[in-house]
Amino acid sequence: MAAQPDTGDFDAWYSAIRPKLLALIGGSNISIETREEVVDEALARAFERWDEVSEMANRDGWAYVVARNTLRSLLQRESLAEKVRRMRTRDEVKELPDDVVDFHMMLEPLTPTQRHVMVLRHVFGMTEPEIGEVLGIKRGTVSSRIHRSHAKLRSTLPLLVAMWGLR
Amino acid sequence: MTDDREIGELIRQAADRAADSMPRKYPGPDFFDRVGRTSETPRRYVVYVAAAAAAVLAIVFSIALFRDAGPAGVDTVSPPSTGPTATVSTTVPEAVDQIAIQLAADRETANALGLAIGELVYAADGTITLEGQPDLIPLVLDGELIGYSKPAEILDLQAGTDRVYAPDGVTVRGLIDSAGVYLPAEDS
Repeated sequence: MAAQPDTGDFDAWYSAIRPKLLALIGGSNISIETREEVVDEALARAFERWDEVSEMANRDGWAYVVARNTLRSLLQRESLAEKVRRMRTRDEVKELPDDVVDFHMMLEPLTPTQRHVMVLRHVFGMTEPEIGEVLGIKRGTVSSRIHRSHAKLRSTLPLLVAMWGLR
Repeated sequence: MTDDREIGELIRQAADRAADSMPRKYPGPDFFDRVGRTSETPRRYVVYVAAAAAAVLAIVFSIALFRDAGPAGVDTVSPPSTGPTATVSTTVPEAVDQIAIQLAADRETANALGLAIGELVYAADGTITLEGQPDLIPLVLDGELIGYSKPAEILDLQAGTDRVYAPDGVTVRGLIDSAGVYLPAEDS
């Protein structure tokens, strides 16, 4: 068996990034169990190559992309019945922390791809070229998606902010 | 009222609150069990590659034997080349239905591109399948395996505007338009 890397730094990172990934991946209709499965899969991959991942400029963003792709891959290859099992019912959604539901509601007007780009840009602080690189699309496409996302959110966010009393 | 920077700040704050509402924990035995299982993937890949190599060798020997014995007509398909390749890109035309790709050289590259990766399985009867990848379709052109196709909508490409890029290790071989015509990729 390969030598295990020093887990000190990894443990601290795991503890910090795991709640964020659990909260942000997918939509609010993905069950907690599925979130944990996908996030731990992504973090397991990070642990296996921790020497490399720990040196990444944006390892948080990398982990989010891997978790998101793992979830997408999981949903693509599963049967409809399995997909349904991973979705929460309307009542079960209420069991998610309000702040998690609020976050996903905030991005609800966007397409899944636009949400993904916005999270990478604003939550993980990736630059447009970095986003283009991890998503395999050109920088201009990233810019246009961010621009369109901002245009959509500009009209809805103030209403939500007022409703939630965020400011 | 709300400028771009303000929108970004609101999203970041909402994400921080959402993350703070989820439980924190350190990696435990369950997590490290998963690490062990994930680590099996490369070993499993080696087994598949070895099995594939053995199957190809068996086919080659069979062809040689049949040729020596006289009967003709045994045909087979060459496996795709693997390993790093030059980066190519191509513009997505209107009405593109499929993207023809070659397998990524490693799982991380595939994940970064949003492409799933699987193991090639060469069956004794000469058929080739990609285990665990029902949405990847082997593409054969004039009897040659040119790569694998993936539905364009899964890659979230916008026809007429996006270009398909591939890093080292993944080759975009071309595009299949809605009429089923194969369009080879242009070198960038």
